Amino acid sequence: MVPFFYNARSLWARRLSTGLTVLGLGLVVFVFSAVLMLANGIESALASGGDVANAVILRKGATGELVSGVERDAVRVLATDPAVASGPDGAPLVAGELVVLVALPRDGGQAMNTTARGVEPESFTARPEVRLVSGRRPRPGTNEVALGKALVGTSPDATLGGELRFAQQRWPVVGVLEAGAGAFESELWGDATRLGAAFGRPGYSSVLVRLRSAGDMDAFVQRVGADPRFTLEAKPEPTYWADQASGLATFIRVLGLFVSFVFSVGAVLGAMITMYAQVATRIAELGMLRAVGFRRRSVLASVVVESTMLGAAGGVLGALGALATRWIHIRTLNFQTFAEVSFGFTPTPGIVVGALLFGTLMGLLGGLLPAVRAARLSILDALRT
Amino acid sequence: MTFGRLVWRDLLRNPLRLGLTILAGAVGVTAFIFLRTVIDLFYFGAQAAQVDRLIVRNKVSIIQPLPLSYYARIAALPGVTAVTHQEWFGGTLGDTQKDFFANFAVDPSTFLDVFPEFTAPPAQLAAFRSDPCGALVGEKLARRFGWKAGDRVTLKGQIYPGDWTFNVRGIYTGTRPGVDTTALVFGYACLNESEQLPKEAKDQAGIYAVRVDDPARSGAVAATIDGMFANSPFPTKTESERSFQLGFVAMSSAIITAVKVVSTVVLLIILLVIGNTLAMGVRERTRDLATLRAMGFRPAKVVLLVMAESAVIGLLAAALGVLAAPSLVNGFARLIASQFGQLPDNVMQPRTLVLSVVAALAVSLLAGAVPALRAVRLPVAEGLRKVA
Repeated sequence: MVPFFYNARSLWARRLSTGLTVLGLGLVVFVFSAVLMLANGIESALASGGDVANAVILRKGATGELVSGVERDAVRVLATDPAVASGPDGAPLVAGELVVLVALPRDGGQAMNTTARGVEPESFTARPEVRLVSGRRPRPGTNEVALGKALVGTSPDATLGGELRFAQQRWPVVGVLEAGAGAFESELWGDATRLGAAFGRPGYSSVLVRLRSAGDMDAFVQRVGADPRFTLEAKPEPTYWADQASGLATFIRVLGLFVSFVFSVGAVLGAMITMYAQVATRIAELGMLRAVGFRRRSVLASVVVESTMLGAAGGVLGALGALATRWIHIRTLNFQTFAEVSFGFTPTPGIVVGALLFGTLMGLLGGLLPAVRAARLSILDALRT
Repeated sequence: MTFGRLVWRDLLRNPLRLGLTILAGAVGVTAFIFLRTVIDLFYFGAQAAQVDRLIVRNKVSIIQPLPLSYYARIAALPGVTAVTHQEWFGGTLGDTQKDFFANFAVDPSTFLDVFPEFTAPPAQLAAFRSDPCGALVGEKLARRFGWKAGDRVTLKGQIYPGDWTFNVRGIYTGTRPGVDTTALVFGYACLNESEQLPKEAKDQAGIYAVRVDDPARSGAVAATIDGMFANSPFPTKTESERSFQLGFVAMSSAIITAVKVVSTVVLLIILLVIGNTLAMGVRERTRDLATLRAMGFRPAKVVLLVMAESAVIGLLAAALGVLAAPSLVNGFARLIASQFGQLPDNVMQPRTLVLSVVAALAVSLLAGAVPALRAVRLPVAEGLRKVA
């Protein structure tokens, strides 16, 4: 085998060309991993807003809370289910919730669709992951609202102590809530009855039910589906949120992987150009290697290794670049809920390893053909040049 | 040897490398066209917007309805030539949104007055207007599901519970390219007079679309409409169709920015690949170039020689990329069709193609400039001495 050191030295000897190729490969790996991190970010932003012991109940067939409707009576019926957990005061943890969209003005004049969730006191008790960062809970029966952390500062009056105006009423902000980076952080929470009155919606959009244990979920889902008193459907809360994320995440994934694929073809060609040039300018060297006794396959391996090193370097560069995007936050419209979501680039070990492998693979592919050419050289011809 | 021949011979010095470079460039150009087209998709609605149309919606948010009684009051305003209302129905064929397409309840008698870009044969239109549950289906949507006049289509309501069956009475087409023919519209009466409809949802309209006689006065008309309903329980927000559509685009701006960034990265990658190739070529030819200069070629001419080479590479890559782009874009459109509905046929715009060719040329010239300058900076004597 030709020692690695030789390859590293020869790459270093042609710094400019090596650097440009690594940069090109790095850009491709960067886009590849950034896209996966973004899609992952959306999924975790929305899907982490859910507890396995909670069920969301919607009208049968409704794809989201926004298009669903549940009558008030159904909430009372659901509260009698034996699997429902009780709160500290002994009351069943069942909350009717109302979801509407409000257009809040954003700095710069454009409005943004924001989810306003009308809640009941049990909504807080049933979702232990929702905590108040500052301020207090909105009092039932008032127009007070709590803002998700991601909303603070996005609209002129969206701060603790500010006052929002929508539906021809004033809504003082009394608290800021945090929900483990989940979807609730992009929502504003107020009293369900007050919100319903302001929007002319007498019923609820959904019902949140906390079960005694996550193990009761399947039986509960079946009971709700089969109950003749209403046409409702229960879903585990994490499943519900994952469904809400799937459209946007799929869009970004398909777009990103498509682009990455096209890019990678270009980058493999780039690596190939570099390696062909390396082989061409080093014909005498390669001939020498053969003359001192290295076999054809060692020369082949050497060129492939060199190119793979290029690819791995590109992979590292790209992965590091992608990791640096962690501090960027993105707000965009979720086509499924029709409201804005806020999410970040969320790296996982799998994505980082995938990025490194992807870079290495591109280098490997780019080096194969030039390596074959290098291995095919005849010693005599090579030494003569 | 003429200048052109010199460029030609230099290019063919290493045909394999030339081929790979052009191929890599073409891949980049294709990716660039693809990404620009994705951006255009977001602006598609805004592009189809007419200057003389206003959209009236509930001020609180788009999902809040407006009373049907506003129709007569808006129609009576001076400057308003036609008004229609429509309601997003959001029905799906199956239980899930897998087969998503847009569907609206419209007012059959006024719909085409405000949206004249949709047409259908007069007989089909008459049938559509006389059947309360009649539906008009866009040409492209009809092709997707094989629907024809006389078929019955059942949608599951997402917002309006239950199954709703409509009779396809006609297939509409666009009077000009760019009109969206992927939607289904049906008579409002079918929805409003149905027993399935919850009582509180009766006599409501999602939005009103208003046509004004003079686009210059549309701002004034919009202000009049909003003023008229400002103190009612259902205040309105009226804006031009274009800014209505751009409002959605603005909410997706983060994604659009990301796609724009990526399309710039594509150009950067092309730049790197072509620049790398040219730099290698120039390095190998240092002696040739020095010889040329020793023979009396001016530095400017040598620079021109290298730049001409890069321009040829750039243009060939652009040509190849433009040829490859349509099939790629259509492939993508098919991939996402199930999630986001059918895309219109002619999403790829000539403007995008021209832009991509210009960008490829500019990038390749930029890539050629650095090696060319390096080539002429080297003193002739040193260049002659140099061995590859």
